[in-house]
Amino acid sequence: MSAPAEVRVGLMVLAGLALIVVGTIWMQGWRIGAEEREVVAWFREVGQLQGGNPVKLRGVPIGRVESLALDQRSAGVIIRMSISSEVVLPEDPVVILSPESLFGDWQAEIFPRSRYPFYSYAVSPSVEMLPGYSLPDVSRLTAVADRIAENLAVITDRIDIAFTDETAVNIRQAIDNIQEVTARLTGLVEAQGRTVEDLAAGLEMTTATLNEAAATAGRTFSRIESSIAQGELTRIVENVERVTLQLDSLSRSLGTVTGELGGAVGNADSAFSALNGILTELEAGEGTLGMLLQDTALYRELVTTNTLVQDLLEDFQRNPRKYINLRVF
Amino acid sequence: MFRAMNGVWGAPIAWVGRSALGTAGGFGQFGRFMARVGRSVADTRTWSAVVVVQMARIGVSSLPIALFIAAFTGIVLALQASYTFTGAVPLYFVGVLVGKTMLLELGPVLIGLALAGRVGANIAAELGTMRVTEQIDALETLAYDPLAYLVVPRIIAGVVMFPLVVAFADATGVVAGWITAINLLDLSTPEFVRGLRLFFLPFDVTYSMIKAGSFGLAVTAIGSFYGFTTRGGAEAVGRSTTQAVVVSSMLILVLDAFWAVTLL
Amino acid sequence: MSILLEGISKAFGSKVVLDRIDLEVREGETVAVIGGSGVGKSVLLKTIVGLLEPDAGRVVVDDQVVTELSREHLYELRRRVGYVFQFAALFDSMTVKDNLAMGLRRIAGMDAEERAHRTEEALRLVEMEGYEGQLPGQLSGGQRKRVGLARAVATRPKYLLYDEPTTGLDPVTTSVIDRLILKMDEELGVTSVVVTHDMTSAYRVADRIAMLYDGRIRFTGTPAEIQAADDPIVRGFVEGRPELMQESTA
Repeated sequence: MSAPAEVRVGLMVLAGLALIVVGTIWMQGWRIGAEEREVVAWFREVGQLQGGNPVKLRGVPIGRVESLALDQRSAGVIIRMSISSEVVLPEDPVVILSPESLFGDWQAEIFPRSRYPFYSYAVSPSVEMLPGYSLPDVSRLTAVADRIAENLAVITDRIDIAFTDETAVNIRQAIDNIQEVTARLTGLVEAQGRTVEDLAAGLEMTTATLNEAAATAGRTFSRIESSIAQGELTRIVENVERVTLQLDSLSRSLGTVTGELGGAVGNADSAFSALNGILTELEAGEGTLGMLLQDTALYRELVTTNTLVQDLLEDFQRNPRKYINLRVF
Repeated sequence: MFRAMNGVWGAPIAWVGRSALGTAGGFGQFGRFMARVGRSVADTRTWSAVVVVQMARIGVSSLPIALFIAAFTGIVLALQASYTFTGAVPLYFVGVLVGKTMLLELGPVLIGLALAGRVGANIAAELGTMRVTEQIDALETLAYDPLAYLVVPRIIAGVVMFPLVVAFADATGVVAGWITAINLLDLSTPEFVRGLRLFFLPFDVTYSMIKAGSFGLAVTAIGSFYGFTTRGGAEAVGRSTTQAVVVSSMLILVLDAFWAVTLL
Repeated sequence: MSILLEGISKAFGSKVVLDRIDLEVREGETVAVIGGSGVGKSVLLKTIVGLLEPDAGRVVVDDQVVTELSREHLYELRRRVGYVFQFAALFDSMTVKDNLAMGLRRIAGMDAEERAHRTEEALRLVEMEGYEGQLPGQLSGGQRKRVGLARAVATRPKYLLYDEPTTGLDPVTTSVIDRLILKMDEELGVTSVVVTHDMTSAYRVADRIAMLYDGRIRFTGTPAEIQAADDPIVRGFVEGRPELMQESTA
């Protein structure tokens, strides 16, 4: 109280201004005195990111978002971040924006591109800018989940239609037919074999292939039955593709043999026509298996669904709290 | 019809009319007063000599009460936040609530109201007394512009010092909430600081300071106005003082809402 | 070099306090304005320095029309006028010395030494040396009035206006103040207006006396003339006999 008014006022003004400046800096999470450098990234859109949000590398805060600005020249957003200059960025770095918690605060995370190669990063117009990708926020994820559910419903329906008891019987019949054809061919070749020995060798190979195909088809279809229960959809597709390929090569091999045998193997015609009938049926999509093979839309849906499920799973692994919190509220 | 009104409703209607006219007249009077004060700001020679004294009286002397209020507000905020958040919200949100509430609302408004009582009443009583004892006239006869000598330095001191007092109060409230959070709640310093920083924007500080500055203007201007326009004796001084506190408190709340609407 | 009031009227709300007042105070002269409480004597005094603005009429001081002056010129004029308030109106928060220095600080080019010298001189004039460091609250009523007077004369004004300088003082202090007023006239040669309701004091200090009654100047004359006046209102006031005034109004 003994100090004159000027001194007391001066002290208070200086201390107050210092408090305001230092307090603001500290509240923003700045480390006073630390060396910092700027990192710029380019995004198509930035969700709910704001200036001051944290920048993280492998989950560790290394800086903050300084500013967001619309890129006037192209339809994008330029984000400036300052990060601690000691931090070494990973090779081929990308920036991913995501919600930090459910309460609307976002973060910018720096990853090597190889960590999440599937995201469609915005290609920055300049080399100095890191490519960026903004994860959909909760509401958009919900919408995606909804679409996934719809797609799954459609697939389930189609599989229901495709694999009836009749289908199973048909497939079994087809296999029987193929075996019968093989048996007849064997008989035929035995009868004609001595005169066309070199051809017989080729036919033997074909037979083996056919056998293998038949066995594979048999295995595949029995697996399909069990896999429906297990939901291994991707493997269904793969297997079906493989079956198709093998049936294809089978038919080609048979065609060659047929051509070379010429009229000599005329009695085999009925057997081939029977096989062809089956194949035509399959190719025309008449059989339900054929339908599954031919329907490109369904295939595409399966693929997109697969990607979305992967995205969702990845996000879920990275931010399990987001989904757990969802349940909490 | 008008006769009937005169009979039954005459008195209350007339009262409403009188009140409306009185209020409008009061605004007009205050507006003219402030316009004259604005002109007197140009008389820097007169007010610059005394502004430091007023800054000490309005700012430095108000610090203890402001810090006292802020400290207890911070403690109560932290406790009530944790009480409200039971289970549903992560506890680090105590930091969010303490920080945001202190900066945006309670810091400026509680300190503003407290200083409306302390500073506003003081100014109204002092100037009112000077008015009724002709000290203001005496200033005039000694060739001083009393607005420049008495009112301008007080208003400037209010506008400059209120934000500083509130800055200290904001910081004290946050620190008090912090200490409470670590000692009485199951919260650690990193958690509290995480919450504190979570939604912090530098604009929060600006907003707090703008509010405090406008409250400083309101309290000192209203106090000066009621003190300066006191007519009569000691009783009139008392009346002016009460009015200054009531009106400046109301104005603080109105300004509070005004800034919330315009700036947020 | 005089004070001239022409047709001054002033009303507060519906209450007319001054009604077309004409009064002249010649240079070097001391005029006492007398009248009962609340007849507007102080109002009259305040219009002279522009503390109150008359509703009508002209105030001329030192050849300047007060009612038409800009703020700056008004403050300029006020530096030549000393005003002694009824209750001294000393600044409570300042010492006696600082109270006196207030007016002196407004005089351009005056340094601290000169101010100290003037302060000392003014306090000596009112016989209050040694009270420089006191606060007004520590002084008696008479001492305060003397300090108030010292503050008014410290700037060496050409005009001095006294508002009830002796009201509420004991007879001894009253005569001390009266002697001071005369001393100012003699030593400083100022032109003065003394507003008072104390006839003894008026007779002692005034060259001329003007009586204010019912918003008008009822009488003007020397102390001798007023004592010989026939007007029952004037006589009633001067002799302290209200019954005369009541008969007249009735």
